[in-house]
Amino acid sequence: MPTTTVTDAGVVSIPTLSSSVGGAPVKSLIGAKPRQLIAAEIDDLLT
Amino acid sequence: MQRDVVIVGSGPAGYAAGIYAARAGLSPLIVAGSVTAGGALVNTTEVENFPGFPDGIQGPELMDKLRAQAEKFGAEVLLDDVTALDLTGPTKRVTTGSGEVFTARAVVLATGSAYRELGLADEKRLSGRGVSWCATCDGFFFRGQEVVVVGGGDSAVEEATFLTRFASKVTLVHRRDALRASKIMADRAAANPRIAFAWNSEVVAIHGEDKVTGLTLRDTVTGATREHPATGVFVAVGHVPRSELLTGQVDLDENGYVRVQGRTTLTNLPGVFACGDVVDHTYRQAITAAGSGAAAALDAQHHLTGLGDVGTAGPVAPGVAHQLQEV
Repeated sequence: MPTTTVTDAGVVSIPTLSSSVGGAPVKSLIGAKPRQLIAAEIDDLLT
Repeated sequence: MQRDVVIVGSGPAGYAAGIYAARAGLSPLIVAGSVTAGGALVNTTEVENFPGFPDGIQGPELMDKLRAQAEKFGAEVLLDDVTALDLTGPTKRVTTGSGEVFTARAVVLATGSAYRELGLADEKRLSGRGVSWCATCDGFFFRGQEVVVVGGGDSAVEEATFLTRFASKVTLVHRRDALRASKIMADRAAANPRIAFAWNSEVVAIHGEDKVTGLTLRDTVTGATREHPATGVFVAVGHVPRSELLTGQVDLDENGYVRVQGRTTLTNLPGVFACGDVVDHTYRQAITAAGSGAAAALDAQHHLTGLGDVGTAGPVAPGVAHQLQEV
């Protein structure tokens, strides 16, 4: 099982939504969240 | 448009209420939750004790089947959360996360229960960063590491036993000097060389910046504290009813469970019915929840019959509704 990627990203819980800029993680959202909240987080990162 | 019945929650209770209400021609709306649809069973694996499935069934598959059965008879399932409830008048108002407001003449509360938290300062901050309530979800990430399970009941022992598949060492932290778990579970844990026990101990602090690095335990007999290294903390200290939206409207007991009248699902408010784990802190089984969900739908149907115009969702004559409320 290829666990290196998740371990490198520091994931210890699912679901984890991790965002990176230039290969470096900037933010991670952990746990199931309502659609509106996820959309707001993504909008926030893109602006 | 005013509806006859809105059901809040989508575990076995909510879906069973949906099946019964839909078959009664009440076209119920089930507000199932945006991330919690299907309820607690969605986070389980094999369900071996739901009657009718001699070979067992996976929790998520069982919930899919219950949902399909409700939809088959005309129930509408909405994947959104209820954020506010106004239940006191004859017209009930149910507000969802997207801001929609639904009105109904009857509401069935089937909101279930949530994991109980330890109530420590850093517990929320480190949640998903080493603090977890679900070994089957997160245990995999702790391969070869030392973890702690907090609790002494069947679910704590089950979590601890499951975690020995991955962790190098599992310490079960329990406030007393013996487990509350059933004998078969306790014996299984005692015989497992990878499970250690921290008796008479409670967690008073969880440490770590971005990730859990350890915890402070206090001896419940002597009061002495000690440090315990761990990268994972799995909390299994029971459940709490999800009744926070009901406070001040629906009668709750001292632990927050909805009070119902006798063997019925009637609450203190006319037209408001409650079923499943938000009521029941005794049995808490999928099948008992489903049974009480069916009862709630039948109680709601009787209520609506008393109001007249069942199935048409037409406006209720204010006098009639008021009269019934006084009863």
